[in-house]
Amino acid sequence: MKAQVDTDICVACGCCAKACRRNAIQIHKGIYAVVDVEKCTGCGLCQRECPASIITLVDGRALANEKKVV
Amino acid sequence: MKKRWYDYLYIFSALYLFLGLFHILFAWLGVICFITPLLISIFGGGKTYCNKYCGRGQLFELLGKKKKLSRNKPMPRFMTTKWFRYGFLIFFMIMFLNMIFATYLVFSGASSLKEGIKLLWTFRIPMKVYFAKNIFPAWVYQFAFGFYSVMLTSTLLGIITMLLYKPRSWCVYCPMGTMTHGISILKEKTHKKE
Repeated sequence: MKAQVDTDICVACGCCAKACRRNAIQIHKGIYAVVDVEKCTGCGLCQRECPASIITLVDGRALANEKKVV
Repeated sequence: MKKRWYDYLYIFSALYLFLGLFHILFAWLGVICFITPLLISIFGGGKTYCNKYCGRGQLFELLGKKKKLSRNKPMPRFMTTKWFRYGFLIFFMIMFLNMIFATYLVFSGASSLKEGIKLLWTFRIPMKVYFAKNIFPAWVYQFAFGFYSVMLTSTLLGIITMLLYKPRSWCVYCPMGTMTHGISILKEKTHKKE
């Protein structure tokens, strides 16, 4: 189980990054949150925190926002 | 996790609201929370202000999460959409300009100082300047009343959504956040074109 962020709705508030105990979430240039799949354990703390409730836990490593990050 | 100095900025946010009740001129301090986030994002810092230094966000987190006042339910879908966020920003800006215009009217002498704060842009709460009333020109006090109204109203809205939904629900539709988010996106777009 990995955390996935819906980047179209994400406002980059940083609640998820703050909640993550493993520092697996970074805010990409103040636009959206990016989950480091290597570090993510799928604990769901970020999902609980996200005020917009846009973080979902999914199997595998594919992330919707992976392509967007240069 | 180790606490840093900026993890205590919620104290200033809470203090701000109390100081404003004590003397309206303290409302001017709120301008810092308007200018700093904009400057940070304009100079490429993204939403660092929201992520680290926003005392109001921390206050909501403290009340909602630590004090367990929040229902912790997801907010309605429409409130997370761009339409709602930018719509709220426009509404907020119109009300802000309205306040600036009221300040201008007092500045130009067209109207006299109206003491009192307006909650939710509608309800007038009488409030007096008890001392140090003649040190500054009248418009300084008018702006302070207007600005304090903006801050109190937005805090109230934030508290309502904190109670109903997740603690930092305000952060989703916060006009300052929408602005800094917009600036960050614009900067990224122009950067890619170059």
